[in-house]
Amino acid sequence: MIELERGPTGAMASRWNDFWETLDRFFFKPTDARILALIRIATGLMIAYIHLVWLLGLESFFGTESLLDDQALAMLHRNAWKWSYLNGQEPLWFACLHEVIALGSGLAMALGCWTRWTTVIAWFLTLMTAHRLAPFLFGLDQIVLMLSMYLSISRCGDSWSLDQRFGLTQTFDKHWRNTLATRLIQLHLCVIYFFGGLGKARGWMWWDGTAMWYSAASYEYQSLDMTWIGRYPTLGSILTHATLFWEITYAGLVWPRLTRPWVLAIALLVHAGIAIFLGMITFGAMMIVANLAFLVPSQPGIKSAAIREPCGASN
Amino acid sequence: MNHQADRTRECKPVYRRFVLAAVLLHLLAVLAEPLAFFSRSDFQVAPEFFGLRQTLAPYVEWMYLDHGYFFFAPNPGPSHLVAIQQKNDEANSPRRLKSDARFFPDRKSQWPRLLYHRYFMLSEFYNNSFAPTELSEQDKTDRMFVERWESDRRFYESLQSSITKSQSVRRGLVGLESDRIELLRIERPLPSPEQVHRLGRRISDSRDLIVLPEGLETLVPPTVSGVP
Repeated sequence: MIELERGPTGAMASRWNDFWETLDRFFFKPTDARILALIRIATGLMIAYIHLVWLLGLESFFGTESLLDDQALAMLHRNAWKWSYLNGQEPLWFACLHEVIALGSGLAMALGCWTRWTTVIAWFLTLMTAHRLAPFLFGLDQIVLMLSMYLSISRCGDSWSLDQRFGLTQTFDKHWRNTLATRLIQLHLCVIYFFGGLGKARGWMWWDGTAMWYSAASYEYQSLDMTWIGRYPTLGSILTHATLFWEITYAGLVWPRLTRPWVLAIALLVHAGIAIFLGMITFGAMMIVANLAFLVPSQPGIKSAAIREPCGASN
Repeated sequence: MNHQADRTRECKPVYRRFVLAAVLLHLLAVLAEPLAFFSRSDFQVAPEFFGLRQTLAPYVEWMYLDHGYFFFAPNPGPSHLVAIQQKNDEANSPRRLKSDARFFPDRKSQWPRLLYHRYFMLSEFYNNSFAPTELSEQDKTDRMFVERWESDRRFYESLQSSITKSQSVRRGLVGLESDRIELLRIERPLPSPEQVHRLGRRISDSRDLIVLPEGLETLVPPTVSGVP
């Protein structure tokens, strides 16, 4: 009735304003940094660990006599925008120094020490290493770089940090950049799961229910024997299909408050399974950490509509 | 002035539209690679996704957003290893796995697990980069296919040379020149539940390892290694 009185132009303007307000609240309503601080601590520690492992095999990974020398690296990146000052001709001492600084910046990021700078430095140095060592990378590096990139634009050092404890930098209770970074992590995760699920849906093993068995039967991945699942083909099939449907629907079901706990609980189980049974404890752990972005700190008395004010916006 | 209000920082309204525009561009970049990846067939990539991916290439690639997110997809597949060993003296002798061959990845020598996984990713990458030593007569008639094969072959040889010359490979073969070292692509097929539970086959059994050919697969059949 009101819309009729306003006329079609007025109704459209009203809808546009509603949309803009929702979008504005979704990306810009200031939130606190507690969840991002948790993600920062885990990501910083993982960055430090990643560079420690690169250091353990320094001669194999860096320098002119590494497994991937400058010529092979140049051919690999010949048509790609993958510039890094680590180009295969780096002296070992330089690579060592680079990795030590990266390790240190990861630790500083975890501790929350001059977080605004150390997070950016940790991300940048890890990115430089990633371009240098592309053939050695896997999902872990994708997730760690994704999280550190978004943490770089946040104020994740405003909670549980040395910055806050000792007043190293000015901190805020709530900041719009925390919301923006949280939203970007959430949306990026949805893209990862959606296409991850679509990719699986192209394979027949994810439909005939045998994918769980064939994942468990890969000796190179195995860290804990899960071949017992072959004795229970129905269980293996149910787990296969649950994984497939959960992954495809994650992007839609993780937003409503009714379904979010279930979606996150399955995420925890799936990634814990990958960590424990498939030998990728680092990757599994970081995927669980990334899912923390969908947790909402306790907020008594607030009963907002799930879609209009999804997690994080109503803090 | 309210102290609490001081400790909350809003985005200035004048900046919000610019930030949103940047966010939109960034999200397009996040989507560009999987859209191009999924819309690829033997004939083309969907033009709109190809255009998006090409336009945003510098940002997508340098920011490390170029992933298709194909985890265990489309199907869990066999693993690939690389065996390192001394070449046979006879030039045309069949490529067989020797009992003293070293492998990567190797759980015993590559620890912690993340280090092992780095080598595992390299062995998978090496296998994915494979281009055969020659093309079939039918393939030779397709000029574009030949050009792509030449480029792929050059990269594969470059990678092969890089690995054989590396310190970490030569360290285990002291006194041996890199041209006396050969790399074998090894495949470990995935067993069925029946093979494991009814026939008692172990998934770690090295007798199941297959040496993959370097030439055309139709000309050179793979050989079962037979190493205990």
